[in-house]
Amino acid sequence: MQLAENRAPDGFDDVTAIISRAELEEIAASYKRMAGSDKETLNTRASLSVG
Amino acid sequence: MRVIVIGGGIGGLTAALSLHAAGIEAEVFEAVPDLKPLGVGINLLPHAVRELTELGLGDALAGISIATEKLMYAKRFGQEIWASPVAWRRAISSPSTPCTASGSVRTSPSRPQGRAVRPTRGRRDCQLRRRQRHGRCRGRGGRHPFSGPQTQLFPCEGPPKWNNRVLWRGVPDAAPYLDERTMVVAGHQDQKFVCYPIRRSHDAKLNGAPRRRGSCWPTVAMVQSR
Repeated sequence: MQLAENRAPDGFDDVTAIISRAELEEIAASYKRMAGSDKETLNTRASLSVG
Repeated sequence: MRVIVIGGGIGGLTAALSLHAAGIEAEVFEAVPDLKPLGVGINLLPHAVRELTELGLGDALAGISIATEKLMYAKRFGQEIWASPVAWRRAISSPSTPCTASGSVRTSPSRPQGRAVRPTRGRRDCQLRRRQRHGRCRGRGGRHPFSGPQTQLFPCEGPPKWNNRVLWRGVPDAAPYLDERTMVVAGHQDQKFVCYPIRRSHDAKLNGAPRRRGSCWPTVAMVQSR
């Protein structure tokens, strides 16, 4: 969101004109990995509340 | 071992249920005598939904919430930046999430059967409330969480860090948008708007008035730098 604001403060017609699809996918994937909310991690890790 | 949990909010009750699942007796103390709706909703993140499901609350949660299917990020003008399906995420409406006067979210007053969570009544509760009146003990949530037990237990930690951002919440009755299951986050790092549906009209009433069929209540939050 901040990247889109920095690169196109007045808006855009097509987001891929300011952020490539590959860059968008990498940002989304790295955020999910960092937050631990990607589907694979979430569904395979042990529960935090029930041992 | 016996554990005392101060604060019957969503965190306190979940902690008590987790302790119970581990075979540890837990008793929850809550200073607010009556559970009342505050008129807000809450979006449970995937981690929270996963743990509540593990605690056997998945069906109960499904009955009072809307599963978020998609998370969409947008410019402040509404143009879509990125949207993706989400897993294990749910939005809960306000009638089931009463809140304390200080603003911390509380769960439903109906507790799961067979759990070790006890309501706060009797002598101990009176003692806790008396301590509150004298400023010696407070719950773990609220506007000034470090004025409570944290201050007493960890006096060297000092006041919490603040990022100079203020959050407002509201629950308007509004027409459905997109697929009625999308959470929208729009704006940038200094000003952000968050919106998600928390209940549909045909299964809900607000102040006794039936809602227009098909409409839903998005909850709205705004973050601004001060």
